[in-house]
Amino acid sequence: MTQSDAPIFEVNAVSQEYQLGSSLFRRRYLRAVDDVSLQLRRGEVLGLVGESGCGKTTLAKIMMGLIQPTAGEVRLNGKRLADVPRLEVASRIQYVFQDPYSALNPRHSVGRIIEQPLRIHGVGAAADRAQKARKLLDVVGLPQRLIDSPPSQLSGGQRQRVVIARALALRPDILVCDEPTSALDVSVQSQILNLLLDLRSEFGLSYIFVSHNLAVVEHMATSVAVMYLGRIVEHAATADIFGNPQHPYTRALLHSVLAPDPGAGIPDLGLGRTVPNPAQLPTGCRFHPRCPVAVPVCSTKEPARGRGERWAECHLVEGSASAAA
Amino acid sequence: MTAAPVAPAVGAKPIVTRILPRWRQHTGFMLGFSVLVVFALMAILAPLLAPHDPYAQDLMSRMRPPVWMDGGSWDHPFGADQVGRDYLSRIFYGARISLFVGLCVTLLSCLIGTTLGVAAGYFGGRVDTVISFLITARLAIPVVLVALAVVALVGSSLQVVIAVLGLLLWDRFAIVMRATTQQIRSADFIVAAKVQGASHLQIVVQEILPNVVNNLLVVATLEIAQAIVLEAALSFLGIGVPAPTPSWGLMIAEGRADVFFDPWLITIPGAFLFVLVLATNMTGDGLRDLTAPEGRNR
Repeated sequence: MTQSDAPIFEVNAVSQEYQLGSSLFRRRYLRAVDDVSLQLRRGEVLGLVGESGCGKTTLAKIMMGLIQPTAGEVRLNGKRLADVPRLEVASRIQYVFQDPYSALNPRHSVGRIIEQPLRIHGVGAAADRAQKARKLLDVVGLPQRLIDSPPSQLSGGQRQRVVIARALALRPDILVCDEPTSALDVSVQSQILNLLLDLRSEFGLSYIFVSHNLAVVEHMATSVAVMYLGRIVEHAATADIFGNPQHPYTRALLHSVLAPDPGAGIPDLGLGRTVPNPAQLPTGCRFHPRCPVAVPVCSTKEPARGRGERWAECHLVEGSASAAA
Repeated sequence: MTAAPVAPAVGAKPIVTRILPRWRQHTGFMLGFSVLVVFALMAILAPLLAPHDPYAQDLMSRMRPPVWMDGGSWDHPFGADQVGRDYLSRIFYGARISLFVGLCVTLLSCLIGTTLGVAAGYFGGRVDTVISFLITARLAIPVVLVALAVVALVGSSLQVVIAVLGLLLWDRFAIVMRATTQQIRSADFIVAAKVQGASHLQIVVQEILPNVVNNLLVVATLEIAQAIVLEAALSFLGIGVPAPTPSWGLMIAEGRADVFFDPWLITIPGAFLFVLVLATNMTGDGLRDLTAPEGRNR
């Protein structure tokens, strides 16, 4: 895949805080996303992985402009997302939803749903739009006869194809896919993933691919960002992440994938049983309470923030900014 | 490519033709709706059906009892009132007033209530706080008292009845629309429309309204019934439709003095009012059953 150098999409030092409630003396905040920077080049597929509640979906919504971040900015082709007109943002970035059952208006037909973005953008006459909707059905591999069906007559996989067709209607450059297969049957998941890969080469798309499923990310992504409690703790090309993981959390995640061996049982990750609480971040490195290889400095000093193409935010990683200190 | 189960092809049939068979099986709805149609025809065709002019007084036939009682005649099948006006003709013309008031009031209040309710449900936050306060304030106002005050100020007429009721009966629309809009506001397809760059108006009109129009229809039928009863009540109190106009509420009021000797003066318009309101409510209940997404049909 050819990649030009200028990023078409950037996330610069974005943070998102939610106020949890305030008393007279102090306010409590939940930092769902903490100073995250990411870049996406044309043709790239950026995988965003992490466990539930680590801020993946919040970050995806910030990228879509659905949430205004409390700090930092998102840039689309070098322009601040907040300054780009609504319709232009829509024609550049589209979203593929996690749950195809709630993403389609139950009162509209499939054709109407796929046409909807064209209608909103005033593209073409009614006949043109219907024509385009039929073409998009072909593109996503749905039979033409479904064009007048309501979504209730479609299976989960078919609905997700409709969601993808609708996202493609405006010919965007970037698709943000928020766990696009997690609501689907295993047998259908691979069909949707392969469809997304085919569309990437056909339309020159770039993806931001949010998932907790590492196998899916390995299959799809060109680079991977691992998220833990609102921060990207490791970022690297897909082969490096899976071949040579640096951060202890990434290693634990890779071990957590169940082997197809019924006798093996659930692997012990050395992560302990404590579930992290994003409202009360630990001091120092945010991963140290669960880290199997933590050293004393981890609980007092936060590791240096990672920048560039490849990084791991850990005191113990060779070559990271804080390992030298 | 399509290993997923294939949905049956339905062609381009609109929803109405697909669920029409279910409507036929719903006894309550069919009964209520048929009676409504009969009443509507009665109102529309009143000039052709009425045997007499509803305003023509005839002192020779005053207090003539209906045909099934002693002294009745086919000349006045439902008898004649205190000044000899043909009761059947007045019933026919009265249906016009009742249905006209019911429809106009419902249209007006539907417009106000839906706008407020959808705005409150969709925007939430401060807008919701303000509109919820308006709804609560409206619920604290007794309709009849307001009608009394307005009539005292500007006098009674059909327009005043419609305006007063229309401007006061929107509370149920607002409450139902607010709740249903809140339910679907955070659905992914609304987010999808936002992501596509839709404006608030486009989202409300194209995404939300098609999903709440069922509930709107149900509330509207029930509201028609309420408006008809209230019009009759206001006319009975003398603050509704003014005197010579044939209104069922007014006819009941005029028969009040003779209730012990000629109860048919009250029972005939009362029965028509009862049947019309019952039929409207049955239609509304039936609509609610039939438009419920899955099942619930009897």
